[in-house]
Amino acid sequence: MREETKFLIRRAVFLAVALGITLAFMFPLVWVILASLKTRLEIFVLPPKWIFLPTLQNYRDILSSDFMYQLRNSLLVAAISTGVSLVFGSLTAYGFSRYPVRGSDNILFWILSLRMLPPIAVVIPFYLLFRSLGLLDTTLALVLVYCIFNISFSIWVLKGFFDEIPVELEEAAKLDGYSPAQVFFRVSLPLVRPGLATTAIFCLIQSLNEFLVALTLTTRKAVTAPVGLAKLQTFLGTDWGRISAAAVIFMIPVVVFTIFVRNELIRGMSFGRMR
Amino acid sequence: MATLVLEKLNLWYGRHTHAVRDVDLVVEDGELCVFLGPSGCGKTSTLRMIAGFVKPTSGKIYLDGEVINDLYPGDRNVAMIFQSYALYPHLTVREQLAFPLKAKRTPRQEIAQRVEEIAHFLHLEDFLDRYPQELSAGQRQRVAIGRALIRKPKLFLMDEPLSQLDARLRVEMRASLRKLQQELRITTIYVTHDQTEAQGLADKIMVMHQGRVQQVGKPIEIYENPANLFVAGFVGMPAMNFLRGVFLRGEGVEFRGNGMRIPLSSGLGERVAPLEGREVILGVRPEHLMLARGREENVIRGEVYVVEPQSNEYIVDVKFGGEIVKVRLEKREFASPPRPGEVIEVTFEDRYLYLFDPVTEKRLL
Repeated sequence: MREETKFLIRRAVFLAVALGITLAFMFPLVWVILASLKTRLEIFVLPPKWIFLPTLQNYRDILSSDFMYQLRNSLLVAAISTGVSLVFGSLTAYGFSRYPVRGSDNILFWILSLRMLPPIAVVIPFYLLFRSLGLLDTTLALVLVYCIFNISFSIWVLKGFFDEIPVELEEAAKLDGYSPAQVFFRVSLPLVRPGLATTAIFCLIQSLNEFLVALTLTTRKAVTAPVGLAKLQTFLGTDWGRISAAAVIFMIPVVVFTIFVRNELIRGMSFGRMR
Repeated sequence: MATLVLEKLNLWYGRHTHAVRDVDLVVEDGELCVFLGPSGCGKTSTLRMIAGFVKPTSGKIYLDGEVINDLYPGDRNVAMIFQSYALYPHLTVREQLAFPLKAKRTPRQEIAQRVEEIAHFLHLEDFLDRYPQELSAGQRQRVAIGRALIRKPKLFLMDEPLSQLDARLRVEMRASLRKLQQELRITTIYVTHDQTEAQGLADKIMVMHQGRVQQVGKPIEIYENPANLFVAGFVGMPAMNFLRGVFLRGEGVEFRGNGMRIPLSSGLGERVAPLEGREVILGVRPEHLMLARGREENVIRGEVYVVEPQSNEYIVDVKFGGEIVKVRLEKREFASPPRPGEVIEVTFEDRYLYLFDPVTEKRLL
């Protein structure tokens, strides 16, 4: 076979596989979006209808329900715990990356091991703990729990990014007259911006999606979106249209944030090529 | 403008690594002093102590008579050019240059003016809004120099600043660095393992090895009067030839070693008389050897082993008994290139002979 033909075939196969994978990943998303625009009857029609008159009734129902309040809870908890995790995570990671810490390997492993806990194992102790603190059904309780998981994660991710910064950059800044704190804020931190973006997205997703702890620790006031979504399945039946509409609305914040930090993320992937 | 004095400087890394041992040095105002040595010899560690990145275990560092051991790097008024240039990837050239001034809360107008000045001085005007990644190696180097110069430091530290450049640019930048330093008369410490750089740039060279100072002196002194075996072997390209052997008196005095002998001139015989019968290391530089053309004193006679033609000379490896002696010979001395296997006789003048003690490695003659 000619070289060009071979190349074209390889190219076609590659594209077909890539397209297939993309479709497989996108399919549930498309399905949910379509379902959210259908009436109760249309959702169950077999074979599925691809062309139909879309309705916004599901969205109207959701927007006027408790779900918006729950979504607000979710966003609040996620934003605060992500912010706190980034602050503590970057400071701790910088310390481990730049200063000799006795037994740092062990300490770092211990920090990571917090994340290996299966949430189900700690849910009951957390429940008892927060009950005696009088923090059941509060956003604060959720923020605290999510911070435990997210801080350990951000320490590990950010340490990797800080390790990549050449020490000379910081030494140069010190010689130029900047104090260690100024060096951190004016040189090191700006250079790990891609790392901060990556960490923020993962923390955000983790906090937004968390279900088990939120289900256990909340009853009414502090209920978050995933729990609220689950509660839309009642003994009177499951309104898939409304659930789909809620899921779509729930996706929006993460998508918007990801688009927002997209450039940083891409730079994060090509990190380590600076000199 | 400043004088730098190092006094009994010692540095230990942990309990087992004695990186810098009892370093004493005076660098006069406006001088360029090169720290020369192989990697791991302690030259960079010494530089880092002067910059303040590591604290000396013992000893004192004086800058203009003031002990600066405990000063924060930023309070020493010392600037440094790093091997990697250490340009901040997130700042434009303009911001890089302004960075040291901002630390001192210089008024904005003055910053702008000084950035313009330095950019003009280093021909960087056209690149002020670029990021370091968008510059060539030579331009980055100039930015690094500019950032160091802009705050008018007392002392300039350079850690192998030319090692990242390609050979041609390196030679170019070497000359312009020298010119710059001489124009500004800023006291400068320059660390390198490249002796050509050291010879070309230095007012004063400090040769280091295994944490110790081997010799301090003008470039020409280091070359002509090496204090010991290490300095003699490290400075000079190709390195000095070393032959181990003893002086024996027969008809005249001769040097005998591994399967070879060198009959010495009578003048040299007298000078080495006190060393007769003692094992020594004889050193002679490749460039000090020339064709014997019938002379019989100080003659090394052997077989050509390898010939490396250079642009205007041959570097010839001569098999001399059990030793190899490198010889640099000008091409015009030969009608046709020397061929391996050919017998060749080379000789040296009395004054170009060096002798070292094989145990202490000190220079004997």
